[in-house]
Amino acid sequence: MAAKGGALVLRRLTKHYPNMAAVDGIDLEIAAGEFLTLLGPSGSGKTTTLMMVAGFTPPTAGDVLLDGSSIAGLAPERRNIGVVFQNYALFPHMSIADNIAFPLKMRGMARPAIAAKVEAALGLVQLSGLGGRRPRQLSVGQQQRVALARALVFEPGLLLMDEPLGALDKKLREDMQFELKRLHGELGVTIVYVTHDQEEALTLSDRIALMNAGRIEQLGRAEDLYERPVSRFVAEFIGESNLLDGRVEAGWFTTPDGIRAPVAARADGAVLLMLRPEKVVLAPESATDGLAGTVSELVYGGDFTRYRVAVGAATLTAKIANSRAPFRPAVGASVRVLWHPGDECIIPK
Amino acid sequence: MPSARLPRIVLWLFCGLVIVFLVAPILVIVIASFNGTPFLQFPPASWSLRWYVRFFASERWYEAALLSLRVAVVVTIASTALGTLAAIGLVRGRTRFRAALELFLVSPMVVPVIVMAVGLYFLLAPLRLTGSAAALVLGHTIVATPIVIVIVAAALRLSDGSLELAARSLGATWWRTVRYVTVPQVAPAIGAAAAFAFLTSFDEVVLAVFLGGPDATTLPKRMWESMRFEIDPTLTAISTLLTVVATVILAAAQLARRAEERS
Ligand SMILES: Nc1ncnc2c1ncn2[C@@H]1O[C@H](COP(=O)(O)OP(=O)(O)OP(=O)(O)O)[C@@H](O)[C@H]1O
Ligand SMILES: [Mg+2]
Repeated sequence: MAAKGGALVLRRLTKHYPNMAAVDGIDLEIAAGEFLTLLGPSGSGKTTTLMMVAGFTPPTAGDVLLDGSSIAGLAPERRNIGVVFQNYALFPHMSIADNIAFPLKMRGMARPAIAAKVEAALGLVQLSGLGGRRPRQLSVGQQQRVALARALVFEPGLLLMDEPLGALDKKLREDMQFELKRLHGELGVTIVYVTHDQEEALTLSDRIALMNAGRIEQLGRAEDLYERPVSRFVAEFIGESNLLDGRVEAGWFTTPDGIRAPVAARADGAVLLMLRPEKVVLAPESATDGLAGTVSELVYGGDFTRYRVAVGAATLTAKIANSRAPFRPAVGASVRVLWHPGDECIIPK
Repeated sequence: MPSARLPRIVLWLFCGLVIVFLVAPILVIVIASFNGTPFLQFPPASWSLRWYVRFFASERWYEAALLSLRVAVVVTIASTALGTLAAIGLVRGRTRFRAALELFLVSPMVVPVIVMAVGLYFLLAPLRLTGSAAALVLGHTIVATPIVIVIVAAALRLSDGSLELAARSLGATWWRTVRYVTVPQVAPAIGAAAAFAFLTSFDEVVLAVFLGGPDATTLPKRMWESMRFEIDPTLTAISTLLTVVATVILAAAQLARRAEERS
């Protein structure tokens, strides 16, 4: 199985339901062989987008192009796109081998060729020898692998996955993520992956499209979204963040309640300042710079400790590694909060 | 504490009475069918199998039974096929008029059979179709199809629709999806529906009276006639046999369903 990835383009893709836009004019270009994740809160339109690409939901407007040609008018069975559903959707009345053979049978392939391909596909997902079983005789993780094998055996250029790991426990989920990355590397198939688990998105994807209310809020690599969010929504959705509303003037950030800090911002105006908790540094009260604050809460988290520090009317969170923390203030201690210049992110409003 | 037990005893008594009430007529007929005297009698004064022998020996009864069987088989095939496809359309289809369509398709269940019979009679008479097996098949299919629709649609609503989407994404056309995925999914329900369709036709008497005419006489119609003109004790034997057939068919459908669930 050496599938070559297909390039997918969504052009102003739109789905309106009565009284609401489930997907609101999405533009997206996905390169051949890319692993792109649609990430977003519940109801943001991820599944709807995927179902329009698969051909199960007719778009209200817009176009879907696969390798340069429009597939919007094609029936699902003619699109040659692999789909893995959240509940795996294995056929319970067929054996594992028959499940995997199904797409080949539909394509009129000869029996011996089918048998060889099924064997290879089972090997690929490390389930050799289980072809004779029924889906319900397999564990959830194994069923997941069968679904993957079945969606890949006909060598589609594009694989769509809608929260495929949602039903697995944490350990199994991590195994499958690893497995998925391996398969993606081996086969070169383009993958569009849907999840609302940001950690999963950060681990797996080449790029992430963060969706909100039917639109793409930000598209970029994991680092881009984490370190340079373009909006409050992105900053709050991805990871933990300290967010301060204020203004930048002549290199200084100020908030109405008196916080004042130098920042590396180019333009002046109303902004949102975002600071990741792990970028926050706590210093003793005697330090000359930084914002004066009081430790209000302290949570031990194994390899790190999370401090909540009241600075004026705001509360900032600091996540400090325990391995090399020279300064460990107690609750109630007066501290100085600072960060390295440039570690903050200024989001223009 | 007798005061606490009293309601339970009353409840059991009541349930027992209901069961007796439901089963008694069948029991009376079954016992009477083994009657040895030459007239209908309950309880029988002597025992014999003479009415069963009479049934199988009489060409009149035998032909009626054969016609009933033939009609019922065709009706079963036609209504199961039509009803299953209609149920798939109703449950999985995307039309806006789904609710109205479903109401329309199952309406023969609420229209009194006698109304249907009179209507069909006036419709088929000018076409010279009354008095034929074809008319019976038509009438019975109209009555049996809604039953199939209701049973299969209920099973489809419980089944996992994503299996069909998966089949489509894997390259199966709509028809092949129905054949390889949808139908196997609800096969036990289709089997049960077929059993009910068969019995609906096999037991049906009103349409048979109106549409059968003098030439196409089904078993229930023959029984009805024999009730009217003479009280022939063969009736009790036939009734017993019909009850057995119905019980066996429904039990088989039920067992098939259980086996499917366990497999
Ligand atoms: N058939 C439908 N009719 C009406 N509204 C719909 C339909 N399907 C989806 N929607 C609406 O469209 C919006 C987007 O739904 P979608 O399933 O794409 O969200 P999602 O991002 O996949 O969410 P989740 O993470 O919960 O799966 C939701 O508000 C949903 O209620
Ligand atoms: Mg979804």
